[in-house]
Amino acid sequence: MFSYLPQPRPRVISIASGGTGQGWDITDEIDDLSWSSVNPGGDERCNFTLKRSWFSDNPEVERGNLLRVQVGVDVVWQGRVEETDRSGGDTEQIAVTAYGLGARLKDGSFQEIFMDRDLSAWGEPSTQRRISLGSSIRFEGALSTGAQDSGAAGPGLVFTYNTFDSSTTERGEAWYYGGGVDIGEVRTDVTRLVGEADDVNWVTLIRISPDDLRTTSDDSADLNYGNSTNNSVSASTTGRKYVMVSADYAGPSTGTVKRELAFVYLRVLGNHDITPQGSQPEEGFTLDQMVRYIVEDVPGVQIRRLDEQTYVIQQAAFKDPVPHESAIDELNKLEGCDWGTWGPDSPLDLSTNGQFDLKDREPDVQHWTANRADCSDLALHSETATLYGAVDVTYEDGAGVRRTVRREVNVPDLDSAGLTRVYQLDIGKSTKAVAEARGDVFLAIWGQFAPARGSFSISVPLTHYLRGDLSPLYLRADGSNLRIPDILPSTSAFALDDTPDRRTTFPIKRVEIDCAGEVPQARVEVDQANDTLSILQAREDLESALVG
Amino acid sequence: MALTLKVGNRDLSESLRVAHDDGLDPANPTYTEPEFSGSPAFADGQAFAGDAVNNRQGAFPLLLQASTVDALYQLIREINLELVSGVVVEYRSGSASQSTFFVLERGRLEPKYEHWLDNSAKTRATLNLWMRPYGNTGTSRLLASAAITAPTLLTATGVQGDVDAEGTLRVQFASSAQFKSNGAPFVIYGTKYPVASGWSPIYTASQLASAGFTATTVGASGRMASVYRAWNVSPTSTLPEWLYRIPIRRQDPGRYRAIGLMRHFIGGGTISRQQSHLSVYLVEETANVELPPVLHTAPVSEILASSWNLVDLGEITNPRVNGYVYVAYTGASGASALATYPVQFDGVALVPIDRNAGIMINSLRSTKKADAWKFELSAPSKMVGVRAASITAEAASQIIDDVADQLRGDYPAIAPVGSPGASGAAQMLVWAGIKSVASDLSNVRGNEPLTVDLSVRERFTYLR
Repeated sequence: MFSYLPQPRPRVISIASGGTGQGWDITDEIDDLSWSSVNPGGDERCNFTLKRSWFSDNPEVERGNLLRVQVGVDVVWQGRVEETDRSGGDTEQIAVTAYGLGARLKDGSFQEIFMDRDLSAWGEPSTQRRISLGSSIRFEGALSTGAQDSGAAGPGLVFTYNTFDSSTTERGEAWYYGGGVDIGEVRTDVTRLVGEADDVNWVTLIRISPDDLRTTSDDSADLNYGNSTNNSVSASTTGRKYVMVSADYAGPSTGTVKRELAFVYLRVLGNHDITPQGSQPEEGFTLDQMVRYIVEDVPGVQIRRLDEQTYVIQQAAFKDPVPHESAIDELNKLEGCDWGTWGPDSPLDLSTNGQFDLKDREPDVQHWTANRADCSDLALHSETATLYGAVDVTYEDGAGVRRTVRREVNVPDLDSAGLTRVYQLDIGKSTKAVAEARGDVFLAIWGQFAPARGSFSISVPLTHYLRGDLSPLYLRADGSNLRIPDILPSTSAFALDDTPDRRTTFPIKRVEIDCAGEVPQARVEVDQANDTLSILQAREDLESALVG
Repeated sequence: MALTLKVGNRDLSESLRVAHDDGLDPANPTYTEPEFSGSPAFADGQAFAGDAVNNRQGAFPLLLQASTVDALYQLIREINLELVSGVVVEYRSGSASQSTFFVLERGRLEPKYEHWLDNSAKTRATLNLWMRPYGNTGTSRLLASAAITAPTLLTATGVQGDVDAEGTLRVQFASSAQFKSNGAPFVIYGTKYPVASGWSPIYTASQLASAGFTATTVGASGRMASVYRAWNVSPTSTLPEWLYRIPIRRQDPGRYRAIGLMRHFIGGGTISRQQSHLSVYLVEETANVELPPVLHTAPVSEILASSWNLVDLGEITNPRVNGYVYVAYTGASGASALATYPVQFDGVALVPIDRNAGIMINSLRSTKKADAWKFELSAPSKMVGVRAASITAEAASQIIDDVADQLRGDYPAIAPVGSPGASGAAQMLVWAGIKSVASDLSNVRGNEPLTVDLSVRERFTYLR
């Protein structure tokens, strides 16, 4: 039964800062409304022009006001007014720019040590510390770091002793400073590298201190000169900024005797109370655990959706202050999730908080569908520059010899173009089997079809896979994909493969809705480029750094 | 009936010139232009994208005259001063039985100086009026009124015109005693048109057909039809436990927002309550009920325990199928039941949202009580949005608060009878009540006694 539905129109609401003050419906008073969203990031920017006297009181566009764009009962954009530009042509006007509430992730700074295994952060005791210990202590233990030999697994700090006398205490001491971040816990294994037995003349301690003089400290049990695993000490209070590890010999041995003691898998945790995942000593935290902690530190933004991840990140420390958004972005390089800050998705939600989502990618879901005839200014660029038919994987085997294996795949697009393209991939210390598997993963990503990127405009309804036909006003770069089913080249038009057609499915990277014209128009930027390889590479780099 | 032209309080009927070549054009229809979009390279023609609707420009040729030339010029000045935004323009042609009213945005009087006419204190002039595009009846008339104690359907019958009529929805409570301290009214409405016979989007507790999990119906005052339905779910079960299902029909396609009134008694840590959630599924009649996509998830932690809450169960699109909307509860490790039947529903409404809908749930900024409040749309001046007003004034003073920013959705509008391809009345689902605490959605009675009125001001693309 035919029924003409009135075309949806956006309403623009401004709410005085603080969320409890006066609000205004300014829809009827503005021109040239546009708003945009981006992945990652969420709501990006909203612009409009208000034809008003510069000198009149314009509380509706005060900087800091919350701005909402609504279509029906849905909030399609939410942010805060940040910029106003006054100009005059035929009439006085004020151009207003608002930014999405993800801007709150850039307002403050973030510091935290989730888990720090970086041995380069450890150093010698300070001069004052040496002075305060007096002449009875001799810093015999030479400090070194890195991958270990003599059968000990994992990276660690090593104290090497060569000469002992009975008149002084031979000491090895190393310090860690967290950049001002409170230390919560320190964990380590202790391994005797040289020597055959434990020795109670050794006093080996892990200490957490508020200063670099160990005025006071939380101490571990005495680990002597034995082999021990999963040792830890926790801070009893806040304000503990330093960690000290030390091994003292106060026994009767004299002369030239080599001794080596290693603190293996030495790791520092901040005072965050997040439960580590994985098994010690290779535990860590997942992206969602850390992102939850980061976002909960931001006033005015709350977690709405946080998809659980399984990859355990063993090294994540932000000792220098960074914006919260930067910390999220840095960690997400290891997972490649879609994330953004949005307005509320329920008409019953009264809050003025930004809603933060971290979602698994859904490359096989065709959220939106549109025909190419409905698109205007359709421009897609694809190239063979990111297409490879072979990869040479270089690795270093257990004997330290560098070797290379080649993996190949048939790529019709390259064959038809008469091209042979080979990628060089270096995976560091590994085995032949792993190198072959990595090469196959690479070619599975990059050996299929030339990815396309580009943009197009659309003003007519599209089909959403759950919601039916919707105005383009509802389009957002929220991890959605868009399929244009009739965009295939003719040779593939009758493909019978029932797997989702990646060639015609485009991840949406940015959407801009422009209401300045006669009808609203959505400008959509898409990109099929697959960053799975960069994620794998980022993980490789992280794990290589951990093993030295 | 006589030819009529009034601009505000000024009657210019006698001044109108109506000769064939005078240029009288009261209802210039070119204010709307269809816009098309798409790539001609890929198809024959382009798809319709929408109408660009601008202000309507009417041209009214006049012969102005006065007793003296000075009085004529004074008349011109007075008319110019009256051509301001919000003024009502009335026009009726000589043979029409009813006037058409327009809302003026701006006007311009263009006198034509002709020396010998001027000497006689006369002047020909063209009055150009830029008006809001649609004419209207000039008044709101009551379409439907009902005394209710639950969500209801109002039938909007006999709506004239050829564009959606502007609606005024008024909700009045029986007495100020219904307001608790700091209580605030809420209203949810949605209009459906066309409506197939038998459309029934409101489900009281006894109509929530069990979907597999045992439920009991409990009598209680303050609930819709004085009952609610309760399920003995396991709060730690991580598999969906089907609570109930609501039938949908292929005759009722479109988008809906499912709003429920429920309470729960689920305890446990914050994480376990966040992981406990209600899920909504849409299932075709013959489809496998185990594998539908989840349409919406409502975490239990966002629903205040132990008190009756309005709950958003998400958006559901009926793609023209026969089937069911299923609601399931999923628990989490660490959650606990604080009552024998920890999940309870008073009722559910499927609010149609693809034509015209609105939800306002925090309508008062002050702590003062209000006995009635209403939406107003396009009063004689420009849109004034939403107002809350006290009818039986407290301390003999009216409370008026523009709360347009608290409306999620559109101002009420009703489709006219006889729109292309359809006939019959539109129906508006209205659900109003009071929540006892203004800042959240809790402690909502299911059977608040109140009166709902729906009035419309019909509109026309040409003349009435």
